[in-house]
Amino acid sequence: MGQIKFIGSLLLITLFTLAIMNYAINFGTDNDAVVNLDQETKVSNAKSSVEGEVKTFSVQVVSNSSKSFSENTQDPGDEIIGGGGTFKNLFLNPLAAVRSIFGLANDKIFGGNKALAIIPTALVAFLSIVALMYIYKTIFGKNPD
Amino acid sequence: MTVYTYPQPNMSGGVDTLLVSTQASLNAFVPLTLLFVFCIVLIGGAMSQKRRTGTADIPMWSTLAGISTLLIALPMSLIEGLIRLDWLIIVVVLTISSGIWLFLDRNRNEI
Repeated sequence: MGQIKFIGSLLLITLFTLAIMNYAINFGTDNDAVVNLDQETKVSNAKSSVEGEVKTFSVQVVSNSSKSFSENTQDPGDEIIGGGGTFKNLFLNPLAAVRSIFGLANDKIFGGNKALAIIPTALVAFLSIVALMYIYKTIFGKNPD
Repeated sequence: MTVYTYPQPNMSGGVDTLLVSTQASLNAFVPLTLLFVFCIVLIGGAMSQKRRTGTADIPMWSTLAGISTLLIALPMSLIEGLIRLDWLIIVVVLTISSGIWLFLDRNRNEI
């Protein structure tokens, strides 16, 4: 999986999650459903969290962080550049959204059982390591593989 | 041997009373129905694709099965006594988890 595919996957996961949650919640609200997804506070919190993370994908924020990255100065002899704001928007925010989704999945599918929490935890940890490796690759220009 | 009897549903208020009455008598009716829909779409779709193309895209069919199950579960949430909130949440979370699997999966057109 390439770097662009990885970022695209994380972004599509957050958008897909928002679409499914909003559809289910609005269906219940519009039709005065007896059972509405919005009645569960953990679902509402996860949705708000994902919405908050995906807001950083606005053109303005990404442009500003990209500009700060490209306008970094590099002294002679330096091997790396200083700015890292782009990685916060491109990697870490969608990763935080995925972490919220896995938190909800852990609570609702595994019942919040700490013994079974290793499954989503391991998945999120793996994605985080992959993201960190890609950041390393971009900054240092070396292949982390 | 214990013989269990269930009251006959009164359908004068609508055919949906049949489902609500069955659910009231047998608590596993709705979850098993949703599981049935999920498995039918997942296994049927994957097997059909495998027969036609030689490979089965399990993550895609898993996501489609989740969405299909959600579309069955959502109308159930309009009627009292048919589906519980935690079952609906599990369906939504399973759909999203399938989507995560789909988007992180390596697809065939990837270099």
